[in-house]
Amino acid sequence: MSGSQGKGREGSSAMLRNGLIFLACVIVVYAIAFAISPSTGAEALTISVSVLSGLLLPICLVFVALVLTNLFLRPRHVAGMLGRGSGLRGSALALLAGIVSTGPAYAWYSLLATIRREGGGAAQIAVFLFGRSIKPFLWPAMLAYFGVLFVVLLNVLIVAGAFAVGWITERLPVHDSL
Amino acid sequence: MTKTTGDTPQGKRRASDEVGPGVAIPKALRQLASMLPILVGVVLLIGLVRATVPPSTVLAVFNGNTLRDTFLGSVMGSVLAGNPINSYVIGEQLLRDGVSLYAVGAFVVTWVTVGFVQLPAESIALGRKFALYRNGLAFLISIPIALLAATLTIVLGGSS
Repeated sequence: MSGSQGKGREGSSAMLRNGLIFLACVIVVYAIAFAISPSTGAEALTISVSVLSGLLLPICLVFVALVLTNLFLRPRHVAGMLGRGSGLRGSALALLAGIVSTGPAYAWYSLLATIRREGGGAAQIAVFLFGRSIKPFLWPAMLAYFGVLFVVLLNVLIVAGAFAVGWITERLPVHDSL
Repeated sequence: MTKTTGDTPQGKRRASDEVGPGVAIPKALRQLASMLPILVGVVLLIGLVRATVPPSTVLAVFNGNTLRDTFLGSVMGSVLAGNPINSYVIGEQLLRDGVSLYAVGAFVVTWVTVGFVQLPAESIALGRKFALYRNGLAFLISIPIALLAATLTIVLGGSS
């Protein structure tokens, strides 16, 4: 087993362990909610099932992206494209990936964690997560609700904001946190 | 031509890098499975927040002060989560009810960029320091974005 594979497996095991602890805590919160107000607990559960059913497509997309990442992306590629030294080009690539990504952010954490372990930069991950608020396929709805000028200005400013978040993140002490 | 297998140290390293579908697919399943408890936990929390914070409570907190409303719009967008289109629908309803474009802009931006409910999951996946700094930073930057977008829209005569 290569170093990066071993590191990846350790990272996945730690994530699973911490995730199970987190899920257990949420179940305790639900148990308290049900004890205080059974109807609120039931309503929360119904909403959650509805949200979960909407996640099937994004999860399938993430699975395909993970397989492709495992097949074709090597640590040196990730470091070159999205690593700390990738600069503006890496941030632009991350922004584009964020814009085309679908589904909620947490569906993408697994892929992002893999990318970070393989050498992806914190700044580029931050740009990806901020850029996700630009959703071209939702622009028709956004235009109908808020008007052309506000939508154009907001999206242009979000692009600028994404680069600003990346630039500042690069200078924060976050690089050793994984 | 670059050798992918062979006698050189570089060639050996590249050969050990090669991964076929037989390795890539189980690895992807393992990576996805490791995230499932976090995913289910976050979804359950989102359900709980939506069930306990009714829209009427949301509307009651805005009072017309630009800075205060923009800040509150950011807080609201950070706490609530879901598909971005839901933020547009709620945002439009807020506008109809007289809430300012500043607050709605901040709400729409932080809805996606900041995730208070997802913070534990983001910490587990990407590191606690990263998650805290990133969400804090996204929250702070969303405020000037909303202020600027709404001010320019109003000044240039667009919809408000």
